[in-house]
Amino acid sequence: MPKDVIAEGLASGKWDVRDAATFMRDQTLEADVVIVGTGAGGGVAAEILSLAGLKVVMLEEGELRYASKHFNLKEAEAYPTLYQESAGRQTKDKGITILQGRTVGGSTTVNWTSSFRTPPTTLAFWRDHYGLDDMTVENMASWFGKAEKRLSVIDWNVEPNVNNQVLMSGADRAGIHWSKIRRNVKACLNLGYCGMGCPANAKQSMLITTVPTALDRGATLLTHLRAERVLQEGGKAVGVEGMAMNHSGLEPVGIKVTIKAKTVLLAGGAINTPALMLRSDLSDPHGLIGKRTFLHPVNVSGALMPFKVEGWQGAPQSIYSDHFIDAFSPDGPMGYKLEVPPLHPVLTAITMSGFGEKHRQLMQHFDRLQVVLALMRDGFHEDSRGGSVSLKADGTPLLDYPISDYVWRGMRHAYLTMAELQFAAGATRVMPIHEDVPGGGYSSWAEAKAAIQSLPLEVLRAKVVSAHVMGGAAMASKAEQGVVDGYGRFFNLDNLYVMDGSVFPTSIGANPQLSIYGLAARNASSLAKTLTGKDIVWPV
Amino acid sequence: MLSRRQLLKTGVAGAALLGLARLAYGPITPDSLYAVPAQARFKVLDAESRTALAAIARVMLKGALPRDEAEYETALYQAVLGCDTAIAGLPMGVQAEVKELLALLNSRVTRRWVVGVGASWETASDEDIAHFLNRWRYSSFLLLRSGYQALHQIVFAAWYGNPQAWVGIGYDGPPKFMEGYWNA
Repeated sequence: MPKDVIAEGLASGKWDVRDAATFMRDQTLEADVVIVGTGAGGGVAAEILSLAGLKVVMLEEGELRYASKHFNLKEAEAYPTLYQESAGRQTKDKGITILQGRTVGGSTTVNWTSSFRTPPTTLAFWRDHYGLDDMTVENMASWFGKAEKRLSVIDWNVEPNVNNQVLMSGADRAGIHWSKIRRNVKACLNLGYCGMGCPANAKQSMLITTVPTALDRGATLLTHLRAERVLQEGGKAVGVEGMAMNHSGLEPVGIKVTIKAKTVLLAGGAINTPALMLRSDLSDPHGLIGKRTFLHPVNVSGALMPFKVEGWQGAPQSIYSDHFIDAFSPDGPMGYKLEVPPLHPVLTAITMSGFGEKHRQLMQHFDRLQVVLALMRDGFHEDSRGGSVSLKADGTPLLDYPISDYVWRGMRHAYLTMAELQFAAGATRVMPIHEDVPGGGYSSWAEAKAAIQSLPLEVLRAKVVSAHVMGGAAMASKAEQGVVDGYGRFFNLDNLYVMDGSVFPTSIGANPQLSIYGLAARNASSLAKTLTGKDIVWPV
Repeated sequence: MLSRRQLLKTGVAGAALLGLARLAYGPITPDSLYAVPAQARFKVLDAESRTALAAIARVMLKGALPRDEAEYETALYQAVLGCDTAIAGLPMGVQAEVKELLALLNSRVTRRWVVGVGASWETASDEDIAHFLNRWRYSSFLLLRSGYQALHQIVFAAWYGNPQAWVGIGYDGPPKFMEGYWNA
């Protein structure tokens, strides 16, 4: 019988895991470090700080769900239980739908395992524009290397699934260069259901790696707990006040949980972290908290192939093309990365436009459907300034992300590229996902090319999605330019740190998990040294 | 989805809409219940909203719903139940927005003048409903487009989340061999 590290840990009686949904009265805990969030940043930080001998308390708004008990590969269960807002989190004008995890392990529990180091161009931009002088490719390489070792980032040498093969062959024929995606997996069964939580614990998410180590080392995990505000006293952060949520995670149950801690570390992701900072009324003299939030806005192109694609099977992402990241410099036209998504019935049906017979005709060819995504590298050009997070009346976050003409131009370029390579790969029909594209799409590259040139580009006509949220608490060497310094230290209050995707001053230009792991490892190691005087060996 | 604040922001036309939406909360006799059995435990949808969503789902899912009459009714009922589950899983703030949208669909005044469906949801023709959906889908008002997109998302998520809906789309569901994986 295979072993599930979570089931075993819970059964051992040694782990301190508490479900706040079951709390009957207010309570107070004490810790050396309280970490808000258990995703890519919080997970890595929790492991490193626990290894340093510090008492860590991890707060997670989601639930502790795990493979042997919960991950049954059904979208209808996975989305409401593992994602923020049932996988339907939206920007203010509803123009962009965002996939973000909300469960132990955060987005790392539900992501598609794509692992990229922060691109050299991105690091160079941060050095040049944000004074992050020591973030050279050489300096960061060792941290990415450590994270890759800890989380088993490997070359994926299994044959790509057909969905990815189409991207590969289409790119070849259209003269666009492509490469293979590395993945953080061990003994992967190549199922294709990464987005519903890995049912075999092959994905090396925070859920089965760093969080268990932290628990083994005496950390406490509180689930169903929404961090409400950072507690301040005498110019220092002294803890976090949280609200227990009910079992569905939708409503606070009226129980307050206070964690007093010498150090407060925020890692709730790039929408929730800035929102928590705003709720906490932190000093923000330059008005930077929640500003410059980036999404890698994604537009989508579907195609019908004359052969079976079955895009639900096999590693979801194994091939990518940076052709139009490399061809366009950051101060030039909008660069974009090409990838493919996994195709499952719910996500596919809600993404495909139209309704009635036309929608059904497409779904009848679900097994021949191929889909390409273009991820815009936002935040580099002055005409791409991202969005901003504010608070709704009930204190929950709201991201406003107006799509600039510059970004739309990138999307039109990408629609053309995607259609060209899908036809080149043999597609019989290509349909940019846009309400103004006729039901069956276009039947030739010439037809598509002419039509795409005149598609009206506006939200809620063009389908725009995102699975990467970055920024909002940007790092910079100076307080005028950033919310935190290059080590995640908040500029305006002692003992407060941010270690998640919020700290990126621009988007990454690649799937961000490994960028977060590497930077969080570097910064948590530095924090451990500050707090304990010890150099932590990581990974162990 | 629409919030009253957003309605306000759309200016004069928006203000007119807001007035109509407010009427939706007045003492208006609801349309009689669409043939949806009421005994099931719906978490958020009231009888009026179930009626409206059943009519909308019937048109959105045309071609996907089974042809057999008895199966058709059960399937449509399952779709509406699925909408209820989907809405109930949203954060409370978003649920409130969906409820405002449903109120707009349900009030006779707004149904006629904003939605553009004169007959009750129970008697509205497929053509009337398809016309309304397309009008919102291509509206120059962002908030009507978002209303259409919300309905699209809720109905299709509700339908294709149900394994019974996978018949005819070439998808057999998650790999069966994983079912016993942890007990092997």
